Amino acid sequence: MSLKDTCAIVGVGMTKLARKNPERSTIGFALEGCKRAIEDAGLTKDDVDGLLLVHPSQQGERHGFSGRVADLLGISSTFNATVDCGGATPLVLVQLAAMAINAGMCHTVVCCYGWQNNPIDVPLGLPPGFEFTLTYGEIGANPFLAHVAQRHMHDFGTTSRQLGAVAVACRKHANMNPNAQMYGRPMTLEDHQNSRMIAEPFRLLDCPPWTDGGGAVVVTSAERAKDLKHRPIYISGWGQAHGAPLLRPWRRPEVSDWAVWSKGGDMTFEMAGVSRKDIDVCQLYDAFTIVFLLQLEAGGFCKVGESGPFVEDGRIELGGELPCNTAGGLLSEGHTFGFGHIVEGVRQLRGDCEERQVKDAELAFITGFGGVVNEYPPTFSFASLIIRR
Amino acid sequence: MAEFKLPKPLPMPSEDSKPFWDGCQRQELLLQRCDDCGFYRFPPSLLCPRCMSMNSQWVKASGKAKVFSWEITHQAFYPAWDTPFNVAIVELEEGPRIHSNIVDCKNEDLYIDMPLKLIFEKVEDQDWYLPKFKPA
Repeated sequence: MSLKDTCAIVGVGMTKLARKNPERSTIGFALEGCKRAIEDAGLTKDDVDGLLLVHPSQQGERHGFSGRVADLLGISSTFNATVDCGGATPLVLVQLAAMAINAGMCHTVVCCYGWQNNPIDVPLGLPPGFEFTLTYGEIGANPFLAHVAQRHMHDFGTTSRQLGAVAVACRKHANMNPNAQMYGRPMTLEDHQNSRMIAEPFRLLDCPPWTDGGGAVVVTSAERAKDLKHRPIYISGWGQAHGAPLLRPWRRPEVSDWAVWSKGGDMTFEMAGVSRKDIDVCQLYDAFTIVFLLQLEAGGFCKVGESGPFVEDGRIELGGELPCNTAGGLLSEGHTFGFGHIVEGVRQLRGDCEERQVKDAELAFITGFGGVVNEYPPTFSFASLIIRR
Repeated sequence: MAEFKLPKPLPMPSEDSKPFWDGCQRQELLLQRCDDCGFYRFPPSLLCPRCMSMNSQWVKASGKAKVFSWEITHQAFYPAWDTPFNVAIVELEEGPRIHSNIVDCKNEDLYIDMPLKLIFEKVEDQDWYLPKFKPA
């Protein structure tokens, strides 16, 4: 039995996004995101019986996060979990919500995240399992994804200017989104090329900003969705693929190692029963410029290794052949773990995007990508979604 | 004013990795080799990810390696090192890839596939050896 179009996203909400916002805790951002999404759906908290959260791994949060958020929201749930697949988690949450609703465990699920980068009284601890990375000075995502970028450049001839084209497209779109962290701060390809090195080959403008914030989406059955405030945005296809043979060899490196995530993209298109050319707008995970390129390849919009030339000449910008990351992406809207991508995908299909609206957008493709970067073995999770109006 | 610096963190070996780090203190790079299929694995783990056998031996790696990928950290999130410095993913002759630093080599001379040779280097001011690599 296909679960295509059996559920819909009926509410979306994002908090203010900022480099530093000491007014909210991690859990406070999650609560505000939930409130906004529930209100956007025209529902009350008593209509919600499922809650899923992104695990705020570095924020001092340990056990029972989703249970505590449910309690603080004052909801009584029959489906509740905290999930950890890094940046793939938001899409995994939406997929799990649809599965649980179809399984009859619940009927309306809120999926959310909250993130306070500078929590009071939480010392920045060393990550568990750092022994094989931090020992050599490597910590966090910047150097780790820099290794991946270096290898992509070596294997396929990808250039820093091509990485820069991704950053420029995202920034252009952020300047049409007043809630974007980089709103009002235009950027050119030369600005990208002149920005300082962070983890060579990454320059500053290949990396996302720090973002305090939260967001949520409400998923319910297609049946219930019909009578709610907004036009339902149906969940048509989904898929996942996990692993990084590129970094963890069974064999000598070869091109097919870069293709491991394509399985998730192919699964998504097969379930939705649509082709790449049917997609009107993409929201592709872009925690770094190189990650966006990997998403284009995993989504099957170009062949493995050909994403560099693909993004040149404004092709991924509004007005281009495949408009992507129309709210600014993680790179310029803010590092929302990809919640911003789901929210923007829904808003595009509702037709709510004003200046940055893709005309008559009916189908959106969204991806999330998460890396385990400090704990050995290094690996990645990919998840994708096709939504339609 | 001197720049704020943290001490360099030493590995905290787990039940799985203790034999590896013990080997390093004797200046030997040890890898687990599966008794049943011969696969060399890293990081240290209970079972073979190729055949799921739990039988393995710790064997000494040849020390021959090459650069799989590299980056130069210019802004360190954990301020214990002088920037810029390199971190490489090194592919050992036996197959596994591990993180390390390339020493006796200018950052601008690094390249993918550069042949390497294992050395052991003491962590500054501490009685602890780390496996590192230099151009072969």
